[in-house]
Amino acid sequence: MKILTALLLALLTFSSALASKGPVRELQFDRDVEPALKKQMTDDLAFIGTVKSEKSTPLHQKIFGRVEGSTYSEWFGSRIYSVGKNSCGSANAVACVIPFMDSNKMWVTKNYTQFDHPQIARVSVIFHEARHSEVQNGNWSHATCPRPFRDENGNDMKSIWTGAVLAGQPACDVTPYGSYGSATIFLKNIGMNCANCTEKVKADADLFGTDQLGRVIDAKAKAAMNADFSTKRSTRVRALAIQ
Amino acid sequence: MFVLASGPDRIQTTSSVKPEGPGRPSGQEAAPKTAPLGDEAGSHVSEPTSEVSMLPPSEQRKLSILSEILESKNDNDPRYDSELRDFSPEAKRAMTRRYSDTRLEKRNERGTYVFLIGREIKDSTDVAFLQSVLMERPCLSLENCDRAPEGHSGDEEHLGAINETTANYPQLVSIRALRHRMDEMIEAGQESAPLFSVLLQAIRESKSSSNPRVVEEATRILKELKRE
Repeated sequence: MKILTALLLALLTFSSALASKGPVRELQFDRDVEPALKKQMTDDLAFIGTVKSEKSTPLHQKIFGRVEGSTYSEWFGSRIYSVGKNSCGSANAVACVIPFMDSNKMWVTKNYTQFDHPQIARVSVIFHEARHSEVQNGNWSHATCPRPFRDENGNDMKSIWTGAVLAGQPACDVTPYGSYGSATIFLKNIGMNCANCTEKVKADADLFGTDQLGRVIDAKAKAAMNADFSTKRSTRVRALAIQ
Repeated sequence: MFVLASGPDRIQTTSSVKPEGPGRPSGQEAAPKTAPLGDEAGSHVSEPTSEVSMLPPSEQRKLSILSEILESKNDNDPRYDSELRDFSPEAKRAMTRRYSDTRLEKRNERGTYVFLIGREIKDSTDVAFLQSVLMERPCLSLENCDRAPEGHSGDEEHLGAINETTANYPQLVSIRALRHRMDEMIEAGQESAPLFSVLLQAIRESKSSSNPRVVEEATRILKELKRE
């Protein structure tokens, strides 16, 4: 029975790499998406579509497949078909998905170009959002940060940014496979394994990946991710049929 | 159901909030260039200055390439690694001037200058610049560094977390560069070299930064190095 359960779980996990898999089509932009924003997003996707590597961690392989441009392009393109302009309900948002409107549409805000994020950070945002498009996985909704949410010294975990207490807020994840987890795994693999990325991109990927990991609050999930990032576990990937 | 972009907020404990303290370098505050978004004037210098014109052509070319890459927003331009290396002290000075002249909200751009100087730390002048970055007051929002973002709900936390990392980007790049150089020197058995002491002192002094994230990182690094 345990073996059966494990097999079913593995099947569901691998299915997340195939989730929402439809034909990869050219990304459509609504008319109200400014040319500069469209160009930036197109350029960002073009960049990630050129990534080359011979290594990827096991979790990365489960979620995305290989650390490889065409893999990323297909992964994203099979989840997001169109892009529109929306405030996403917040002055701070960069992008969002609104599943009840269209689970395969990503909405971007003016902040995509107006906030001066490093390029790999922008890419990680849209990959994070693309993960939320997976309706069959409950859109990988975020977990509520625990109550209480305290550090090792017993003090409340608060946002340095706003001072708000995070306990009880829908701003955490408990699985490596959610949007925070998958974005972390993506970033860490770029940082560790991208063979044709600049030192800046790799350093940025590691920096933002480390920060993303802070949102994964389940100890086992975090431990699994840390183990995954250990360089000894990056394996050379032959042409795997993970499609 | 809104499912919104996010990244991790940096978590701060209530006991480690620090008021703005001493140690902010003069000059960093003197010419803070904040402007409403959309005003790109002065975001990065492309016109030659008298300082740049005094540089050898090879160094001028590097700075020109840098301006071009920053304009393109293509962080994966291979010239970052093939061309933008081995800066002369004078070229680094020109870059620190450009850093100061760049609008505070241009976090990636400012962080890029820090990155380029940080990967070639050679002397105390380089360290002094990186330390000055650490001692800057925190950028409160990507829209306007002088003003905190609106909204304090959980949704806002979910939405804005990656923004906080970017807001601290120059500082994070700086402290990582200092740490990396220290690691290199430790590995090379150069802990007794004067530069190592300068690096260590820079990290120690950054614990008095008004930026809580800098304090957090400095504390962690010193603990890891057993140099509290």
